[in-house]
Amino acid sequence: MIESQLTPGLRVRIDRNRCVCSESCARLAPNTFETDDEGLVTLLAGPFDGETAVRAAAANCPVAAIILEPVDR
Amino acid sequence: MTLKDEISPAGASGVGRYDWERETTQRTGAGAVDDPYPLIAVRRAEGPVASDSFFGMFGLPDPMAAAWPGAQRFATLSYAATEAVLRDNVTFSNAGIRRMTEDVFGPVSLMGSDDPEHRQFRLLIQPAFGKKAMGLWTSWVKPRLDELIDGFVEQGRAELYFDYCAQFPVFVIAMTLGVAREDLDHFHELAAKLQIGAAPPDEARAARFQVEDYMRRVIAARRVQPRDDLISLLIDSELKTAEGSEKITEEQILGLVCNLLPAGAGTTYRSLGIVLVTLLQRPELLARLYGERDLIPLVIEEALRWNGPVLTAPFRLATADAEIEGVKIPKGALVEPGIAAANRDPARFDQPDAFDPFRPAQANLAFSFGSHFCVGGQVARMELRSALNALLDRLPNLRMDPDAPPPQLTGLLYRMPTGVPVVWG
Repeated sequence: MIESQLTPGLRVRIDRNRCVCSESCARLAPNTFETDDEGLVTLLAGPFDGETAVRAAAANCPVAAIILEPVDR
Repeated sequence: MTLKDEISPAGASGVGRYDWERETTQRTGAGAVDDPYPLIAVRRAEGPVASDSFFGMFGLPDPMAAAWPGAQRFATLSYAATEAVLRDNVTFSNAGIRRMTEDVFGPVSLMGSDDPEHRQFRLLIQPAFGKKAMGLWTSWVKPRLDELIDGFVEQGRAELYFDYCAQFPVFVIAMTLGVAREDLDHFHELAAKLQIGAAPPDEARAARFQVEDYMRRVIAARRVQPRDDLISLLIDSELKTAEGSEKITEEQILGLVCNLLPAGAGTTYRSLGIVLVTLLQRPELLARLYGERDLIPLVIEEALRWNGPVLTAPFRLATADAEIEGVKIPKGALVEPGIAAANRDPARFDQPDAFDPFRPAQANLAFSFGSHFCVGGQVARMELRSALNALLDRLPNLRMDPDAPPPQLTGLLYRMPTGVPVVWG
C-alpha cells in the first residue's frame, strides 16, 4: 500500500495487490499516477492533478485500487 | 449481396486464404447485423438491463446457449449497469464460462475463473504485458509492419484489411510464443477457431489439440535453450499459493497459451480495420493526422469507444439473487455485460453516436472492467498506434479506393469492416 497527501484534507492510497494495469488512472490523472516496469500503478511525487481528475481516476479504476480518504485536521 | 461477396477483396490476394475468417465471423453475426446500435438504443431506453441475450435481441442463434440450456438470460445496456456487473465478480461469476471453454482452453481458464485462482494465473502473465516488456513487443511489431508495407507499396493500391491489419497481431503473438514463420497462416486459423463462439465445439477442440502439440515442441526446445520470449518466461514461472509457491506445469502453460492466442489474434486486427475505415470515411481528419501524430491516441480511444471490436464481455453467472440498477436478477441467470452498449450510453457520453476524438477524456469499457480487465490492453494500444503511424509514414494521401465497393462495419459479437480498400499517392 502506497499513500500520499493529495490536498491538506485528502489522502490518496493505492493497493497494488489489486491493480490490473488498466492505465486508466494514468490517463485521467497523469500527474498523480503512473505505471511501473511491471505495469502496476505507482504514485508520482507531485505536484498532483486537481481533485476532480484524481476522483475521476479513482471512480474509473476497474478494481477500486485507488482509495481516497479524508484526513482529520 | 452476401458477406462472402462483400468481404472478398477485389484482387486475387486474400481470396481463399480467409474462408475460415468468413465462417468464424458469420457465426458471430457478421453480414446479419451491420449496425447493432439503433436497436440497442431502443432497448436501453426501455431499461438498463434487457431480459434477453444479445443474440436473442437480434433474432440470431446464440452460439453460447447450448452449454446452458434453459438458463434465464440478461444483457446490460447502460454504463452504470455494465460497470456494476463487471465490478462484482463474486455475485457475477466468470466460472459459468468454464463449462463452454474447458474443451477449448483446457485446465486453465483466465476467462472462466474467479479470484483468487484467476489472479494467481493473471499475475504470471501480467508483467509480460507491462512497460518493461513493451520493448520486446515493439521490436516484433515495427519490422513486421514495414515488411508488410514493402509488399504492396509499389502497387499504389491495397486491401489493407487482409494484407495489413490481419497480418501482424497474430504474427506478433506467434513470435512471442515461438511459432516458426512458415507455420503462421495455419496458426492464425487455429487461433481464430479458439475465439469464443467462433467455431463449432469439435473444431475448437481440434484446434486446441493442434496448438498444444505444436507448443509442446516449443516448450521442450526452450527448456534446453531459453530465449527472450513469453514461453521461456512462463517455463520459469512459479504460482503463488496459500502455502508458498509451486512451479508451473506444462499443462498450465499450454492452457495459458490457448487463453492468450484468440484474444491477441482476433480483436486487435479487427479494431485496426475499424479505425482505418472510420478515418477513410473522414478524409479531413485523416489528412490532419499526417501532420498531427499526437492525435492518434485520441482517435484510437474514440474508435474503441464508438465501435469496439467486441460487443459484450463473456457472460457472468449470478451466484445469488441480485439486483442491478433496480432490475432483479435471479440466482443461476446468465448476464452479458454489454460493454459496447455501455460505451454508447447517453447518460455517460454526450452525443454517444458521434465519432468525436476531441470529446473530453473519459474512461470507456472497450477493454472491459473489473478483475478481468484485458491483460493485453496496452500492447493492443501500442500495436494500433504503430500500425497507423507506419501507414502515415509511407503511404501519402491515403484514401478510399474509388473502384472498390465501399466498406462498411458489420458483426454482432465480433465487429469488423468488410474490407479496407485503399489507394494513395
